[in-house]
Amino acid sequence: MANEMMDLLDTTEDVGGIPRRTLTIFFMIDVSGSMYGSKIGAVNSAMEEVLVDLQDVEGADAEIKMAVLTFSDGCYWMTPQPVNLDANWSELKAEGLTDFYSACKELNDKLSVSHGFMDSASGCYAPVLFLITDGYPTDDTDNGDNGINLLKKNNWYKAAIRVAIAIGDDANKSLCENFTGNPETVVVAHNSVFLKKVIKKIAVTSSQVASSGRSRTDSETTDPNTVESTVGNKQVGTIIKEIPEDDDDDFEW
Amino acid sequence: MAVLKKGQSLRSMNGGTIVVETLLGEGGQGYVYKVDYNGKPMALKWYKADELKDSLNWFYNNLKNNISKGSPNSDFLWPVDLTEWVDGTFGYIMPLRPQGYEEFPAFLMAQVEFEKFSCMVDAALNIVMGFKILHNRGYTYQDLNDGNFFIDPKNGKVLICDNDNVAESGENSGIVGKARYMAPLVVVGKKMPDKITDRFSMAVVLFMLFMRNHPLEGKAVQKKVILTENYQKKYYGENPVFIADPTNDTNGPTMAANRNFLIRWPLMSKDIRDLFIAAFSKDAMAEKASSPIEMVWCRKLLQYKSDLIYCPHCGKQIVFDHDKPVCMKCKQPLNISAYLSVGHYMIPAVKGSTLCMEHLIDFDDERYDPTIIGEIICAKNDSSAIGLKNLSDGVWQYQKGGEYVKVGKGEVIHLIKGRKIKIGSHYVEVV
Ligand SMILES: Nc1ncnc2c1ncn2[C@@H]1O[C@H](COP(=O)(O)OP(=O)(O)OP(=O)(O)O)[C@@H](O)[C@H]1O
Ligand SMILES: [Zn+2]
Repeated sequence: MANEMMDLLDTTEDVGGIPRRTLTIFFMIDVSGSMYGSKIGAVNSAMEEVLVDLQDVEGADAEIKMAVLTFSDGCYWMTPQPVNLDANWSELKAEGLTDFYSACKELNDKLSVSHGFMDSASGCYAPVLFLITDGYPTDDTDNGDNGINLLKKNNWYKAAIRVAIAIGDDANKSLCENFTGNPETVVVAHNSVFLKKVIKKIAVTSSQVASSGRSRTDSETTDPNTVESTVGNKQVGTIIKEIPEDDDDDFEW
Repeated sequence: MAVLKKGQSLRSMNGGTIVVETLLGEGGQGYVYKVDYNGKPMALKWYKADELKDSLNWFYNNLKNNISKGSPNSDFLWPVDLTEWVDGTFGYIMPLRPQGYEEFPAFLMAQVEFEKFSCMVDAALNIVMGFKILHNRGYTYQDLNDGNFFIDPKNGKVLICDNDNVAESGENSGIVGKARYMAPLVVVGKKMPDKITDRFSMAVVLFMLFMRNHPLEGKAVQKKVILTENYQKKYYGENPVFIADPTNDTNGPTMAANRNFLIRWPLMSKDIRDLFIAAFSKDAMAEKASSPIEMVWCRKLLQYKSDLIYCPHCGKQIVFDHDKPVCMKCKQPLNISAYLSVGHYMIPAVKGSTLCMEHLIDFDDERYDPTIIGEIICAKNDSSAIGLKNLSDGVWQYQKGGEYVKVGKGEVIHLIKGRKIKIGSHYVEVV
């Protein structure tokens, strides 16, 4: 026998990893002038750590990507394409207006398979949409209604897990609730310590829920004709409710 | 966010002391810490109270029950003790994952490879045996998914973890499973997890182990991109179709998303392919037909392992097809001059083939035992003369001219058709 014994693994074409669905977490971050200082500072340091924490959520089922849309005078994709979790976080600076409407328009555009970010050979999970804002839209008359109404027609928006943080003493809670469509998935943050903590907690939790597909017997049945992720949003809501209250003694803003 | 701190000390139900050392990982339901438990390094799973809520009490009682019953065997990272309640939650103590074992998702993501192809078959056998033992004891696993196994790539040994959902049939935590691993009838809410639905999840895990693709994710599913609750119900519950269903190709494989499957499926034996086809048939998934039981998986997997032979012509390892004896690599015909017939197994006797303990035990014990006890060798001067070398400590016997010949460790029996070899109380016949 001239030949060496060769293992089947070594003589067969290599197989790659199992195809994973992509979970994109969209951050829509207010970088208007009022965010200047400790607010944007907290956002920046939270986001650096979020990238690390989300790596624990990834697994054989899901690959997580991040897309960041900032808005002030107009809006801007920090990530021209969704990026992997090993990306570097570039510091956000706060200045300018609160062009929320233009951000909604831009987000709506990218929540699409054909010309947006939702194209993936092995499919996508319904995304996570995460709004962080401290203000009132300057380019929309009805406190963001026009922008949000645009989004409400988008199936990806409907299917998404939607969460928001309203920052500051005069936080625009109603805008946030309108954006998520559910008061339970909105948190108000009054100080930078809490803000940082809560960004991390919400980002991780909503990604876990969006990608885990863990089912319980008490999950309510959903209307078969809807794409709404009712159970998922409810799950996130109950977890958010358990987050200990912001400590007012630390009042900063 | 009640996480534990390094150095924090907790009391255990059995009166021991637990000191928290480091965080090992975080899952959806809890955190896992390395702890000092009465002076021994162990793992502590600490539940997230806000995730589990009402189920927490169920888990507590169930774990207490599982602890008092004890581990089926050491292949389970079985709970051994509970902690006190702190801030509305608690944890349980289990053995630490030993060195050398890797998480199953690492294999799925091709971050870790098995040392040999046969190790992958051994891993499959170990997984099936784990469930055979659980089911034999009247337990069901219920929440079976890719997070439940640690596997050693060097030998296919498997440890089963996350045994908090393991419960006696009929009991249920309220958690019915993880999407893509749940049986269709559980997905649509017609059924609670039980032994039969465990078997579906097990078949999914085996399929993913070998194929690195999901059995229900073919062309119909890939493009339906939004994985929402309703979509999940449809493709994994109401109308699941196996990507290799011979009677329905509506969800067949595509090169783009099922490349792994297309490479690996032809490497399975026909018997193994048939088991997958049976387990994922429309009727089996609707529980209108039975799905292969663990013993059947075990036997077919061991036969498959025995069919992984080295081609005498090209030297490459191949899957021997009993119906079509041609090398799948060099295409030359294979003339197998003899087989070892033992119990349900037919081992092609070519150089390098082996006889293992499990061929004799035939899955009657609680553990899969791949210990090699004999190896096929060729005579130095005549490669057509083959023999079986005794690698075990036992003394074998065979009859020659009315006399019994004893064969000790290291000795070789010339394989002549019709010869019967007695190993303990078992017989291996050369056919
Ligand atoms: N006995 C153990 N020894 C060492 N590491 C462990 C042990 N058990 C679990 N781990 C690690 O801890 C991490 C979290 O565990 P696991 O995934 O089981 O948590 P979980 O909350 O049950 O997850 P999920 O609910 O998502 O299935 C994993 O990375 C796992 O590898
Ligand atoms: Zn050959």
